[in-house]
Amino acid sequence: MALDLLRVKLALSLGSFRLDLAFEVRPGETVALVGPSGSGKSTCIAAVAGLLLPDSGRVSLGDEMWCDTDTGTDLPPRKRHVGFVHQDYALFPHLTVRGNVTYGARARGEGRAVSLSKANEWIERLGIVELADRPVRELSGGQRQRVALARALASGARVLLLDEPFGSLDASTRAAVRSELRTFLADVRLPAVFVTHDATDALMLAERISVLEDGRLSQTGTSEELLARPQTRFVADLFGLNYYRAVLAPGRGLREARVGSVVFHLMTDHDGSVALAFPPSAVTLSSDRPTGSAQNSFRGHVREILPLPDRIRVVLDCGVTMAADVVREAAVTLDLDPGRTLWGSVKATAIQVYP
Amino acid sequence: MGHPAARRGGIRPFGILSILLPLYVAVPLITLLLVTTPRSLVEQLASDMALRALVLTLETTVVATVLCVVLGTPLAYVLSRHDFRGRDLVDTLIDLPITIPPVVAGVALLLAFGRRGLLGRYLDLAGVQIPFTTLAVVMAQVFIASPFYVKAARAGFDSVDATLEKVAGTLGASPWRVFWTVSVPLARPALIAGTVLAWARSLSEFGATMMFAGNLPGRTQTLTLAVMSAMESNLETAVAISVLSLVLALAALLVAKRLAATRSLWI
Repeated sequence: MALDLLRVKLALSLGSFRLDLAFEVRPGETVALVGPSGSGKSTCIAAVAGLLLPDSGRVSLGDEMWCDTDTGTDLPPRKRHVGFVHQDYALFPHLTVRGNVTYGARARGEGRAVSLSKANEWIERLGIVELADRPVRELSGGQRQRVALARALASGARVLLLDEPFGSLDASTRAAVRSELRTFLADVRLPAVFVTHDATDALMLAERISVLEDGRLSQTGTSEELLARPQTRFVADLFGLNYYRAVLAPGRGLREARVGSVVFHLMTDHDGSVALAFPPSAVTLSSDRPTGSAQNSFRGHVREILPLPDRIRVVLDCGVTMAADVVREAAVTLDLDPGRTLWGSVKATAIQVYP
Repeated sequence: MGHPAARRGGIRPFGILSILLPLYVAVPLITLLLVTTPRSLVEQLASDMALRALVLTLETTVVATVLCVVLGTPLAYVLSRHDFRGRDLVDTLIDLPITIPPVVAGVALLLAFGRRGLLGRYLDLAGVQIPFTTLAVVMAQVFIASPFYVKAARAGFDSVDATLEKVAGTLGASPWRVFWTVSVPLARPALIAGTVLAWARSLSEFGATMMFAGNLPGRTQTLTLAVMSAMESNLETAVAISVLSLVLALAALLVAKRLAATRSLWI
């Protein structure tokens, strides 16, 4: 199996919607395309698979040109060797698991015996041997996903494209299937692109995350980069970060920045228009005015209380909207209740400041 | 799921009224069986007239049905999968033979393919004469029966998720292969049901055949035409052929229903 770089550059219009982006995926790398519904992420991978033709752009894998609107190159999907895993897996309902997995090799003109041995190899690798002769309608969501992956790879896929791979799973199986998929993707060493609207999916699965907003990539980076320095409000919201914009007068070291009706104290050497970002976990809540070393303390009232699996997120209205995470026990000691007045404090050094 | 109230009490006048129509259909059909005896049935069906009509009917309806399938399947697929200018027009045109009187269809066929017809005059020059031949019987049947197949096949293709076809393409299948390995197997129950319906409609064809092919024993006299001829000479023969037609139609319906039901296996 050749390990090649996938390059994508696309522009296309669908009605008033315009998609315009470029990205690369290295062999063995998993990239998440994250965006709200209608941001064009599924359209994007459909164009990579050859299911639709962009108005302009280029798609190539290694030195093989799949699509180049300048030269009029447009390989049909069947010649691109992409493993396209659809949101609801799109298994052939009239075939067994083995029939599904054998389909690709047969379609590519392999003989019955060769196709079958290829299929069996992937059936084994994905741990679905005991399902092989079952009709696909009897399978669970997680099993379906494995069959879809086996089917894609047995067809000789050199790139994996996954459209909302967990979209049709319920919450209880989602985590298990996700970690299964992560192990598997690391194992097959193919360039992989998956589309999701879920930040957790992206953080758990992807080495690199590309955020798509209104048909454009607003930010691309590792999860650490995105979590530390979100470039747009949407990216910050996606990962639940506190994010503000401010204008700084020239200076160095500890500085003041006005955001709305409050003033933040920051450690930075940047000037001019900057972004401030910090995670909710950097905010400490207290009932009384804090006496600790935090330079930023804001008094506000509780607007929202959101229970998360391992903690509680409190949204505080203190001139600006600020999210804070506290452990469950704190709910009692702080007497958490909507409308209650609390103090939120953040250390100046915990706030990322960047242009 | 019916409404619980309707299931328990029901609406009494509805119960009574809904018996009337089935009774109205059943009584004449049962009468048909009562006025004959098995012995008379066998005797009459062994008659030269009945046998020739039966053989001719089976031959022509099978050929007509095959033609409906061969010509109708690609059409149904195109109508289902492609949006093109004039699709509604083609759709309406294809449905038209269901609604126009078969006799009118027969006149139209005659005017088009008759010796002095629009196309017929050129065929005549080439030495080909269609009206009042067995070929005319088949043509009349295809004209009348094809909409039944095309409609069913199109509904069948419509019910096949286009995503499956796209995915098959990404797995390396050519459009031709996708059609045969995904679209047709998944639409199969509808295709077979449509085939049976088209066959049954060919079987009952009368008006268009009468006008376009005439009523020539051994050449164009199908079962329905034989019934009409027999009514003038021998009622017993007419009844026997009618019973035979009834049995064939019933068998076709049962097969179609059976196949329509297997669809649910694949969802």
